Amino acid sequence: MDFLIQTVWEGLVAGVLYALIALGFVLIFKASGVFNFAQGIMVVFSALTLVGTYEKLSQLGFKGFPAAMLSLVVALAVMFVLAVLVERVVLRPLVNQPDIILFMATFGLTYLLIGVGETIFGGNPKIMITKELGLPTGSTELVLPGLGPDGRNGLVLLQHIDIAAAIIASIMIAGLATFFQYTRIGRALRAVADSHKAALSVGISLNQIWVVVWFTAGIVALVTGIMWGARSDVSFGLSTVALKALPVLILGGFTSIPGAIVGGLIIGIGEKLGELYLAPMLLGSTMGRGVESWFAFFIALAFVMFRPQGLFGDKIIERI
Amino acid sequence: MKADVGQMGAAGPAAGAVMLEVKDVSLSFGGVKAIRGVSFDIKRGEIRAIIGPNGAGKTSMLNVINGFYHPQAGTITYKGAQREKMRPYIAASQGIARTFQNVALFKGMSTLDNIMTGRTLKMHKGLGWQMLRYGPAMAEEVRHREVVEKIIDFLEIEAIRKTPVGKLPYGLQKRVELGRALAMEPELLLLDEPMAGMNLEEKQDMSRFIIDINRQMGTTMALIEHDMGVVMDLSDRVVVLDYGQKIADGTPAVVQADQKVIDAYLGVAH
Amino acid sequence: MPVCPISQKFIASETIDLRIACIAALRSLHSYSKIARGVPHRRAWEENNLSDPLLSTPATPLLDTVPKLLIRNASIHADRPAFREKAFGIWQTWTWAQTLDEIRALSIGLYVLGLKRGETLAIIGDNRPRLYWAFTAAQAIGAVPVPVYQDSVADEMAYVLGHAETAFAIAENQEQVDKVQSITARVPTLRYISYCDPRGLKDYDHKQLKSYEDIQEIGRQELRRNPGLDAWWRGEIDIGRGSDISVMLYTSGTTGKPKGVMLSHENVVVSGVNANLFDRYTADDTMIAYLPMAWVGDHIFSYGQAFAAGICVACPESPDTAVADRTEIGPSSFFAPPRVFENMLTQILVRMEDAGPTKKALFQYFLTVAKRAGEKRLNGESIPATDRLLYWIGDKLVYAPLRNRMGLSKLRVAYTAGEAIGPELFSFFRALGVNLKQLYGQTEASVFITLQPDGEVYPETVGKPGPGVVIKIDNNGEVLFKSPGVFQKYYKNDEATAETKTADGWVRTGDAGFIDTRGHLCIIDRAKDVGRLNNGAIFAPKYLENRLKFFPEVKEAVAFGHGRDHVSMFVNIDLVTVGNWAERNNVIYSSYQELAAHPDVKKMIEKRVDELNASLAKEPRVAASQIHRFMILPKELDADDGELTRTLKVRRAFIADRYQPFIKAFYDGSARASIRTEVTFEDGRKGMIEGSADIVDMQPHAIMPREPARIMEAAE
Repeated sequence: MDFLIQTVWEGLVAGVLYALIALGFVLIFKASGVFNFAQGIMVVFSALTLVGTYEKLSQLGFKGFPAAMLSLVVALAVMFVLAVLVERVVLRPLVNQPDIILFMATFGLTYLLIGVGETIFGGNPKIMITKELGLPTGSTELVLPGLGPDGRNGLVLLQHIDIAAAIIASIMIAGLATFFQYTRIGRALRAVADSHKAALSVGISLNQIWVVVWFTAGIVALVTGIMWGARSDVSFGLSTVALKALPVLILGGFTSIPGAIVGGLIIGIGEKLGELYLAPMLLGSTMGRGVESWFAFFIALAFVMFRPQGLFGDKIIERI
Repeated sequence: MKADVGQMGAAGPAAGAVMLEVKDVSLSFGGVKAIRGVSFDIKRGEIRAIIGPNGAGKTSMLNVINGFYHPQAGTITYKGAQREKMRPYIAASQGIARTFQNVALFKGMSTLDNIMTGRTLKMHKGLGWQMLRYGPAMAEEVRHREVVEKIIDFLEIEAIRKTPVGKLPYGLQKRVELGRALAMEPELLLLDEPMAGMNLEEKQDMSRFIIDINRQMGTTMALIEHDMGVVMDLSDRVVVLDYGQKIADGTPAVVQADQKVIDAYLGVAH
Repeated sequence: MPVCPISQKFIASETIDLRIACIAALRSLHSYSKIARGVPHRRAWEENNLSDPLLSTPATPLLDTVPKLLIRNASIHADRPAFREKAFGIWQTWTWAQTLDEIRALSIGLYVLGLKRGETLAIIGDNRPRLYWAFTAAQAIGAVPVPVYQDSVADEMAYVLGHAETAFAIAENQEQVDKVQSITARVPTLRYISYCDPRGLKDYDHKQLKSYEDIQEIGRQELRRNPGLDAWWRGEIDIGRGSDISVMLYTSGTTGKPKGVMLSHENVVVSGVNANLFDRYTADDTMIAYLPMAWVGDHIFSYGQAFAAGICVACPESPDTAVADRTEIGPSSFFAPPRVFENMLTQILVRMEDAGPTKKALFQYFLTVAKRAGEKRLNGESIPATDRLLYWIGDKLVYAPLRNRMGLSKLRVAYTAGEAIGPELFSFFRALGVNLKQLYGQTEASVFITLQPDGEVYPETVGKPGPGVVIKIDNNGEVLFKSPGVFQKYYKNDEATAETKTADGWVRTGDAGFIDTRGHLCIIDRAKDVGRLNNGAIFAPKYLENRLKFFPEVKEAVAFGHGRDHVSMFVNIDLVTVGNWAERNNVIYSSYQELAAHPDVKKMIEKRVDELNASLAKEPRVAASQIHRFMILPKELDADDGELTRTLKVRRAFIADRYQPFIKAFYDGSARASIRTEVTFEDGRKGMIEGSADIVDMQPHAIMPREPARIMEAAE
């Protein structure tokens, strides 16, 4: 029993992070109709910028919390510059081009970011500056009376960083929701998502909205990068994790923010449970690692068979 | 071909000084010429109709005026200043609002939110305040909501305030779209076929709104319309386009009697 | 079972002069503030018991006019809400003190503009606080308000304004101003037109036109200039007497020109007070005003009752938003004609069709629970504990959300009237916990003649005589009443007044009915449509037809019996209901004719007719109308064939003529009849109607009156 709780908890934390990555996709897809292949790399790139900057600063003897904060500001600034550049160099010239062209452009962006990142900060895996950022480390053992095997007390290990990740992600999602619902830019964003033409006519500047959206996606990426980096390390290998966002999107629908969140949690918990129960059943062993890598897609595909538009996605009715 | 615009000045009872002047404007897409050397003007306070058979370039003309298209040749002078390359949001911030032929609304949003987007350019308070829904931003939101509520009252759409506009019948969608344009408190309002697809009663309502907007708020209007009865009743002056060219310009009575106009509508070969 | 003490008292004291009843009701107003503070109404009433000395003391003058009630409310309910109106998306509220201020300003403004005692002021528009205030403003200075239906065309308006010799008109908006202006030539007495909403009226000639606010401004300026004016105005109100004409309501008679029903202040105030006592309304209640102001119902509910108890009246933003606004306000009482309830039911069912399977199943399950236990619960009968628990759960999950959706969640009582309401529909709402009741009333009665008391709600009756009302049935079956609400006369129409009001003070309703053994009134038909069987018993075809049509299997029914020995009936089956039954029971049919002739269908209808006969047998007045023979018509009655009107009412004489052979067979004892006639349809086509059908003989039930009620109230 305690093992199950442990697994669900870990799945939940992973799910929150998947949800954040998927959120980045959804934001950009809604506002500009672009499927941003580079979202995964933006996670790594932003985290790398943060850690890399800190490294450079510490080489100059500037260390600790203030340096970490400065690095954070630098990383945010870099994401902002990136948003502006993407709007200027990619989106604006390609406006009104077919979606596939824009999709290809984000491929280009992916490799550009990898290249730039490696050139500046080197290709070695780096350690996330968790402690320097003031994030908690360590763990707490939770004793669950009578829930362990054979009626003994159960034990659940909660990493503090995981708790922080869950809290920060929740705050961030709530913040985004308020942003969309109640601010003029949020309203403008929803307007752009509905009709470009009409948005233009009321004086909404598409360019400004695109910058806002890409920057928001950048912030989401940075937060995800910090959290994920703290659990493993910061390297371009991390970007494959971003692929997990795909089943999340399939599950939640490409245009739905609640879909991204719920989908993320389902995938996160689902794959951990799959790893725990399905792997021994299928393989007769505990070598569950393999299951984790494909099980998410399995859940998503099974789901799509029943509800092609995703959990919360708009119903797509197209005449053939 | 060039009508004497100056002479027409006395036509509109409410007309004042020239607000917008279109001079020798041409627009083409690839090889297709949508507008060929058209000139006309719109005077402050008048209702100006743009009419013509299908494909005459009427909508293209509106798109030029509100900055969707940039003409290859010719000049546009708005409120005394000649316009450089134009962006729609600049046109919007200068007080030009419009509606669309096939209704362009934010379908997922409520009537209220749709009309609120019309206030985008008038909201200035910081994002932080807005997110907190507190302090100056809240006061600002309330102020704008009041303006929007007056428009809702004016257009008699109280009953659909919270309805997502995608669910509304076409006639009401047109009304909401007009409401959104009004929320911008425009000086020049461009209406692209405001009565297309409406039944008689809806047309009467819409005509009443257009007249009330013009008379009460003093809004200058340019409208494209196919229903000749409506055009003749509503407009102070009419400009007639055919194959991208201006073929007549003047009071409804003058234009109606113009042989070229009659030919164009009857499809006489050129 | 509890019987409403008030009605009993009144009805038992039939001999008491109605004037005394009025005074008693008026006196109870003084203790009304006590009711508002929570004294049970019963005690409040008993304190003002009829045995009390009836004369008022000089210190507490009678509150016998609406303006006097305003003064009272403004002092004891000063800070409580009097009116609400949704404008620009927000509910605006006026307290009683503010209401007094607004009304006084308007009243004095009108006076300055020349409105004199005894002159009339037309009020035209949707329900708006400003228009309600106009009533009191006019009444305060002795003028008579005349509300006009807002949807009446210029011609009708011209007649009413002309007949009432209107001096002033207050219109809601441009639309109404346009109408009034178009008829000014036909209303020579009209001096001023006022409007509330200035939109579109800027460029109008303002010589005879004044905005509502301008008139109020005139009043306010005068008040500022002359400090004694307020006292003068209050003095004018004191001059008013309960016997003064308070309002003139034009009824749209089915024939002839509308008649101006003149109601006195006493009529309005006493009817309001009595209705408030009957359903325990206090200043804590809220009503929503959405029915035409020119209709007597709205005038009594939203004006008489509201002023009498200090009830808050909420006006919707526009007629289209009435439902949404009702949901926001949550009124404690609600009146609507049956079709409104029917629409609500349809909407619920449609929504449930679209709902997910869980929701649907939940709805279905708890609906059966509600049908089993809901009405019993409302009637205060005992229910098994399990049902009580299930109903409680159902209320949380289904009924309460549904009531909320309909804007009825704070509702204490709902009324319907105007036409017969289907028992299914009626029970549906009662099962959901909506205390829906029927009432029967008329403009000439200031609404209330009978109402269904709580705990005594039977779908087929319209209830018992209201407080202070006495009813009797004359030899022709027509219902007559006396009540404190009886109108004074028809304006400038003594002939009609004499026709309606008998010399000894009874009012003819024009409706035929009978009082059942429980003391409840059943309305059966218009009096002029009621015929007689050869044995002299009354025969009310519409009543029989409606009763049979309430069964879902019956779509149409046509009854015959006037000048015959017994009643017989044509029946059309309902193709949807019976078709469903056929599908479930594997009955194969290819046409209406085939299904109608099916023996099982015949049995089904026979059972229904027998049920109806059984229930008729319980009422001596209609027991003779039991159906002796019936036939399922082999053809569906159709408006296209001239058998129904376009509003789907049966054209009895026409049908009798066309199906002559069938009717002949009814009364010559044949067991089967056939028809073959050539007919010319409305559009000139010629066609052949042919078919045959069996005639079913029914065994009439012996007359078995119900257990007599505890007291035989309201006996003739």
